[in-house]
Amino acid sequence: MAGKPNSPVIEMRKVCKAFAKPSGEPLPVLADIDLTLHEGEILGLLGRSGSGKSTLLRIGGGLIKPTSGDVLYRGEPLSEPAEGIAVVFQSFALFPWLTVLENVEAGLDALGLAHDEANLRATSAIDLIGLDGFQSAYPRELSGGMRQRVGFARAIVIQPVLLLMDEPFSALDVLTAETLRTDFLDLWIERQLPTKSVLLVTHNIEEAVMMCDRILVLSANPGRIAAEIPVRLPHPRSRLDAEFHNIVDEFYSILTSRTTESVGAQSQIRGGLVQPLSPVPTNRLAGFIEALAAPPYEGHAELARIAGALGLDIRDLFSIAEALHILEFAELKEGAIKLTAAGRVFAQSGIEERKRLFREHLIGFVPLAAHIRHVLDDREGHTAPRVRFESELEDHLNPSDTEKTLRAVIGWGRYAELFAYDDETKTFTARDGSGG
Amino acid sequence: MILGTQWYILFNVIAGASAFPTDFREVAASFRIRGWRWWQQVMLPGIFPYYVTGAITASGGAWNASIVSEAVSWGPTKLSGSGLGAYIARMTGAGDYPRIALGVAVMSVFVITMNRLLWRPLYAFAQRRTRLD
Repeated sequence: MAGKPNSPVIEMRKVCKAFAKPSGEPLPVLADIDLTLHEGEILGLLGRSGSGKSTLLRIGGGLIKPTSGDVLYRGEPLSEPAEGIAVVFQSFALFPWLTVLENVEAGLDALGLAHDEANLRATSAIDLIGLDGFQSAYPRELSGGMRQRVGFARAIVIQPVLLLMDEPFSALDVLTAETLRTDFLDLWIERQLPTKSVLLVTHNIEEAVMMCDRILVLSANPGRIAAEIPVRLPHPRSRLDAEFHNIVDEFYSILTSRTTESVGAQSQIRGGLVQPLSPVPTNRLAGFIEALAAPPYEGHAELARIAGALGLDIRDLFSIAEALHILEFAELKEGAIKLTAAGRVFAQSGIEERKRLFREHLIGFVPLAAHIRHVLDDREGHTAPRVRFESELEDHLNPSDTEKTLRAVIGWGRYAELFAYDDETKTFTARDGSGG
Repeated sequence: MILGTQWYILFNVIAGASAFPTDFREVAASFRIRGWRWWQQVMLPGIFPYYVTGAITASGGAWNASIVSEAVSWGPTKLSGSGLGAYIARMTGAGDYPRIALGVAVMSVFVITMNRLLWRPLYAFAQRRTRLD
């Protein structure tokens, strides 16, 4: 569907969204989003967790109101869920007490059709999506892939103008996801779907390049549109195609430069103390360093390749890569990751030496860890409650990022024997890292 | 009795309503399922298992209370109804152990029968309907 841009189905102008922090201050999740979705187009929204992409999709569906800015659906302002917009959910969200047929008919509810008419439309949607024979089954009897087919049938039965898909394949295993994607694309390309346009939220680069005509990359905290890339490959697309690879690589470069920029920007705020961290277990970091140090990479790898070889999805990959970048065990640059000298030493060291090195880097490059240790050293009894650091972080981060950041620093601090943490009493205690 | 036990049901149903998954709310909102259909297809089935849990607790409590209240003594005042509770109390007063045992046994049979015939099937049904796997 490398179609010409037709009339816009949905337009967003300067859309911002902020949620309230516990302190009552606004916490921006989306800032200045301008986007237009045209008829005949599959538009992808690609971003890491925390980029607000699901919030943006819900704004497009009228489920969430933006804090400011305008949302137009077919030229009219959108303030609540409107006729012709259907959503496919990541978790399928099927009612377990309704059969497949009843679940699909539930989608038709608002149209007020006669019973026979509704039944006919539901049955034909079920046929189209390949669920024939399962009408009377309950969702619990179906596999994940079949459940999501019901999710698709419920959405297309209303013959939507706009189909919103919130990571529809990410709860499925790789093979099932691929089958469902291909089936959906076949229907779309053969124009068997009444749907005029699709907004697809995903964190999977290859999925986006496989399906979309145009892809918007969202940066995180707050979410902004960082890049817009058209995909002009004809359908059906092949992952083995050289051009497909080039586009995927281009996304990895954009995402790495975004990651390093945001790490750089965060280190400017309060000396990097409130840098959000992902709680990556230290054995994963060590495992990744080892894999990267070994042949065929010898300390340098393109992210797209090593992700494929190690079977990591991009959320995992970027959490690991970002953690290593922050800890200066590796450097992220233009879609590639390169071990630093310290990273190479780490790969070759034994347990005690690794811990010592990790401790040095944790103190040196994670200001929060150094700060916690400093506070503990200053205090009598060398203990401090968790809330002390929590409240400092919450001035700058949302509660979920605060929780993740603390979980990360606790895990890393324990490994480095920098401090201990008791989850019962929620207190930190200093440790001397002499291996004791 | 109803006044005393409605709280069990009420609090369970409130817990159920607040634990109702956000996804289901969003489905209902985005497909514009409203009014009676919203109650019938979305909310009532969603809180049904919580209602049953509340009702089991409530009926247990109510039955207990009714047995006890058949024989009340407050100082010199003795009130006695006719029924299982009163029977057990009378036999206890008379020290008739075989009849106490009979009363207790009948009571146990009642409880087990109610459980088997009504509450268990209802509970299993509620669980089956709202579970996904």
